Amino acid sequence: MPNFIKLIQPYLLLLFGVVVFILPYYFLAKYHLWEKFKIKLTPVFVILFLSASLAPSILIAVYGYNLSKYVLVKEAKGYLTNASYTLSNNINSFFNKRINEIEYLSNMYSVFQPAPAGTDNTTRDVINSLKEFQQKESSYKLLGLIAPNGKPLALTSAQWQGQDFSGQDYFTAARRSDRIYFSAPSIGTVDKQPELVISRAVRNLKTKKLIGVIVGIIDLRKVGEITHYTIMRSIAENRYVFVTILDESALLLYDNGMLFSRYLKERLADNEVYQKVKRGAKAEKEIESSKKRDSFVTSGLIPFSHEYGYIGGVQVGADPNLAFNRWIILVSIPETTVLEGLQQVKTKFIIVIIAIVVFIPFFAVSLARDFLKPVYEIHRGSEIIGRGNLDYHIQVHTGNELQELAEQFNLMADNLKNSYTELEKKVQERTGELRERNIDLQQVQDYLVQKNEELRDAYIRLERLDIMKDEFVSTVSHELRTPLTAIKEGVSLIMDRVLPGDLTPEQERVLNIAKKNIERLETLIQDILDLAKLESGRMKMLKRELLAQRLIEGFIPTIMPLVEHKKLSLTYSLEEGLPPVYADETRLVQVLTNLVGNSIKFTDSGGKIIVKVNRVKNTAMVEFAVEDTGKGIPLEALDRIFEKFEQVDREVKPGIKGTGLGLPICRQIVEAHGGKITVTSGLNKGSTFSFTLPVFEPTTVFEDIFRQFTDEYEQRQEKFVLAMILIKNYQYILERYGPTWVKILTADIAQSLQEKIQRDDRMIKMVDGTVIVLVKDSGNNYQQFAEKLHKLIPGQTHFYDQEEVKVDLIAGQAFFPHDGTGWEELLAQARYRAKGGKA
Amino acid sequence: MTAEKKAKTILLVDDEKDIAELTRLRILSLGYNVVLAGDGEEALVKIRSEHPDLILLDVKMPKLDGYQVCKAVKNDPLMKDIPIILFTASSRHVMELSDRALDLGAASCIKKPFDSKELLAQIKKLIG
Repeated sequence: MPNFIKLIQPYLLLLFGVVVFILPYYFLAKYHLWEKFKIKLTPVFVILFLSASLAPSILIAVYGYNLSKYVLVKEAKGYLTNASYTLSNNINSFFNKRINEIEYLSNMYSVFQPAPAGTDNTTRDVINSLKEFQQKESSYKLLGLIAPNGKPLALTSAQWQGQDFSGQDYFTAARRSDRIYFSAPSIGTVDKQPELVISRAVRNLKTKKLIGVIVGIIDLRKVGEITHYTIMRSIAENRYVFVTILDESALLLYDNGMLFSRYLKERLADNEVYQKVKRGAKAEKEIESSKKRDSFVTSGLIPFSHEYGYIGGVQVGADPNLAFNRWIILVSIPETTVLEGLQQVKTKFIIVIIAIVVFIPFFAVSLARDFLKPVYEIHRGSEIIGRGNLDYHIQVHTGNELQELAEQFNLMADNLKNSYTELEKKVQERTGELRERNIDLQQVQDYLVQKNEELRDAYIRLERLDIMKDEFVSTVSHELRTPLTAIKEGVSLIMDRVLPGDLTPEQERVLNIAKKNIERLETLIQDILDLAKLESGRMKMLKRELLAQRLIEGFIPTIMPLVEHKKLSLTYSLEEGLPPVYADETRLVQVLTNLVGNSIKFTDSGGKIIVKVNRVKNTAMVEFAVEDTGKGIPLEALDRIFEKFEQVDREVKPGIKGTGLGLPICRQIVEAHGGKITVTSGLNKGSTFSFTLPVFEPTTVFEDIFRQFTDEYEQRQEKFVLAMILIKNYQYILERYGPTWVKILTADIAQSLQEKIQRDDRMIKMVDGTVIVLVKDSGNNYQQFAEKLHKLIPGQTHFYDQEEVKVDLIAGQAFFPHDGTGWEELLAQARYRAKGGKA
Repeated sequence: MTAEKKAKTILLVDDEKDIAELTRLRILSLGYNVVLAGDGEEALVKIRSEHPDLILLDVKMPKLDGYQVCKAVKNDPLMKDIPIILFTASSRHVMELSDRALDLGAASCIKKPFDSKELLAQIKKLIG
């Protein structure tokens, strides 16, 4: 990679980090995307966010690490190169000195006419001068002058005395030419130490006659010393540097203190570095460390490369000026040494990053909490103040708008408190005045309160007794009925001839009596049960709109057989234009049956019974009256007649005895409808029993139903739905077809609804084109109802005379108690929803 | 009942033995077989062993009540097609009780004490 890009890469990375990690947040904030994407500052999100934000720093750090590594390696290569050159120079100068010395000696001896061999004087002189050189630089093992025949003329060391040099390369080669000869490094034969021999022929200056050969055997350990000294002291500056010196034929000469002798046998011709350097011997060569490491290892050259790693780095050839064989110096340093400091930094950095990733989110979250604390405090404080604790002061000291807000709150609370205090003071003053006046009243009041409590206790006791009585009656009735049913069924089985065998007329007569009495007992029990229920208010009145005419016309035929049986006449008269009443049909028939039944019982054959229905003037009541021409009731009995078991002193024929509960039941039923039952009679003057029932009026009726509904549902803690169905084009229909038809139409709609919804649901139609339905909200029920309602609503067709009228309906619901508990509230809510949210 | 048709079996479950016996006699007169069970557990055993065509089930019973038996029958794929007539106790919540019975899958509901004619009419309507 070009250096320039390497240099600007961190900045590019930083830019990249900004674009990738910061810009999105910028846009999130700018366009309020937090809200749009519903990002919440949950701890997890904060952690992710911060980790993501750390990513560019980590990338930059990694890059920085790589860059530092590159720089360090480069630097290492630099000083390794320097080291190799310095070492090369030092070695060169060492050998140059030796060459100069040998040249000098050769020149010196060429002007001397040495004495014939064996002459002591000559030999001694030579030996002395040679020794002088050897002593100057203790790098020679031996300096010597060898005679042309190979016999030593003079030697500085006695060890070589007597040796024949004629067979040595360095002797023969030097003798043949006038140039300095270098031998290859080798192990000395005499002292078994590595050596290198420099030799030169000595010729007479004038005659060019060979005088002898100067031989300098150099102790190669000296080179090791130089290397050691150079690298360790001067260059490497205490770094552990590996130096390897090879000769031209790749023979290993030196390897970090392994001085020559050890390895002189070994050749590293295969070594890649060696080959590279040798090819372009003048140039500095580089190799990549990690890739080449293996080749070093396989060559067996640097056994420790395994352990330290190799920067490889710089390989320097021997100085080209070196006149003899070119040596190659390889200097290397373990990568770990170079990167040691960096590694420490790296470790620290990783620890820091981990610390940041782990701790920053905690820090951030707690920081966020700290920021929000005043907001929470204000929220909490406003709640406390809102609950009425005006002494509370919100403690926020952030010095910004929040503090202002809090202070405003506190101020508001203070003002409120002052107002309250003032108000309270006034109230107290007034109370004080009043108290003075009330002091005597107090005693009276206390007395009244005490009496009131006594009364209430008594009432509660009575009520409890009443409930116990009711429970008792209803249990007893039930327990009586079960065996009675068995008896009745048994008798019936026999009388119905279900069981084989014939009955004698006697037996049948007896069974008939039994059956009649069973039925009487049944009626009695039923009456007791009814009365118990009525008195305790547990009898449910299923009130609805009833037309007196339809009711009477339906009732008369059912009682006719009894009338005819007794040869009486039964007629009825109804006032014109009677409004419908609001009553429970079954119960109303029960009352009529009782009253007419009584009349039948107490009227002699040929008598008359008349049922009259009239509207009571100026009230919303309808009066039903049953008149007879019977025996009448004695005046003194009249006020007891509606009491239980008051079986009147009327003379009754045996066999038609009543239960004595009929009239009390009637009274209870009528009163449960909000009516009154009365009797006018006199002995032998006949009797008239009259009772009133309320007129059916939608609004009051609705209120009534609603009250029942809410009571019931509140008691059971259940819910119900109020559905309101409106005629959408009501105004138009009203104007076009008139109010009477709208009434009919509303009734029709209510009717069609009634058919579609379940029997238990209550409904009321309203005169102004509105139908209200109350439905139990037990999930299913309501859903079914809503579906049905939905099917019903779109375009109904009704008929005005022959004309088809399209009626659109709309519907809305209100839920009890969710939307309110008062019917007006619920109606308003339903209407609001029906009109699509428009008031 | 016609000669070629096999008499249908009705299981009558009621803990009141006398009423049950009388009701049995009444139903027998229509030509059905009647099997009696005295409580809910016995009822479930008999339903499995007798495979009745109709079950008459009293609600108020010891051990398992009528609703529980009804539920068990309706949840059993083998028995769920057997029609059930429930006898509910007469009470002020009669409407809700019968609603509950019908919700549980009972074919119809008769208020107790019942008129035998009404019961026979219901039986005929359900299994002919």
